Amino acid sequence: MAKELLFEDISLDMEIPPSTYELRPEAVQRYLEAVEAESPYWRDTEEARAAFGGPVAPPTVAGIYARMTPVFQAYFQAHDPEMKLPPGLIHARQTFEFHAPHRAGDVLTTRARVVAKYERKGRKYVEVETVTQNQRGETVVVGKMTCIWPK
Amino acid sequence: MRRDQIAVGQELGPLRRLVTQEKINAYAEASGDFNPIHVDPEFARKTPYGGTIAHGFLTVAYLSEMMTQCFGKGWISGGRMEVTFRAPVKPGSTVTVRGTVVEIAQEGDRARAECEVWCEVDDGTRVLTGRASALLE
Repeated sequence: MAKELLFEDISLDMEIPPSTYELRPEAVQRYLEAVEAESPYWRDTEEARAAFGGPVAPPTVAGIYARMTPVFQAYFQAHDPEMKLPPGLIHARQTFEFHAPHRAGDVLTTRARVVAKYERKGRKYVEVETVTQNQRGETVVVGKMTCIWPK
Repeated sequence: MRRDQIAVGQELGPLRRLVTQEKINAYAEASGDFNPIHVDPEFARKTPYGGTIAHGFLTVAYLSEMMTQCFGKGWISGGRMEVTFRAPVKPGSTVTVRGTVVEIAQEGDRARAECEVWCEVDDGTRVLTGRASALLE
């Protein structure tokens, strides 16, 4: 039976390997349709060419890979492939800093680390900071996700 | 957006999006997040939510779209946000994203518009609240 990553198993020094992925054009397109993104910057328009030399992806696309599931999937692969996240994780807070645009074809690498874990009003909180860089080593997005851990 | 085009107190939005189970499923496909609380009505019915709920990141995407429509380049490259998810969004709800400019701050040789932002559903419940900011030309 798969072992669940419990609150007590989480520590600030746990080593989470970076994960790398290519932002495929069809994945960006699927995202645009799913979130009903309409701004001209996402398509080959005058605005996109003037601002960025061509279409870019919505800055929140990189957030897909900065979620708890892909972050901890990388940890499980390295440490215990049988392990999984417990069901019932609640996304409580999110911060993002968008440093540079990213676009279809970019290869992004997300590095994550646990920066805080604490209990407040009977709830267990875990904060994970993510830094996503492109293939040139430029930081594109920095995020911090706070989740309430179910057990 | 240029510094002279914006002032404290200016309202942002609204941007409206109807959330349906089909759209939640489409976001799950696009993000790879198939948590059953979002996509499995049978599972979700037995949880305290009593049914499926939208991904928190879907409302963040709506917020980002509104900020892009308001600030363009200064949001895509230079935007910052800090939000709290306060209530679930159920399928059938219309999410309305709004904001207010609360401060124009100087940051080096650029100005930054600091905004209070929120997403509300049909009965006025704020499901997401927080701050977002963008650089000005």
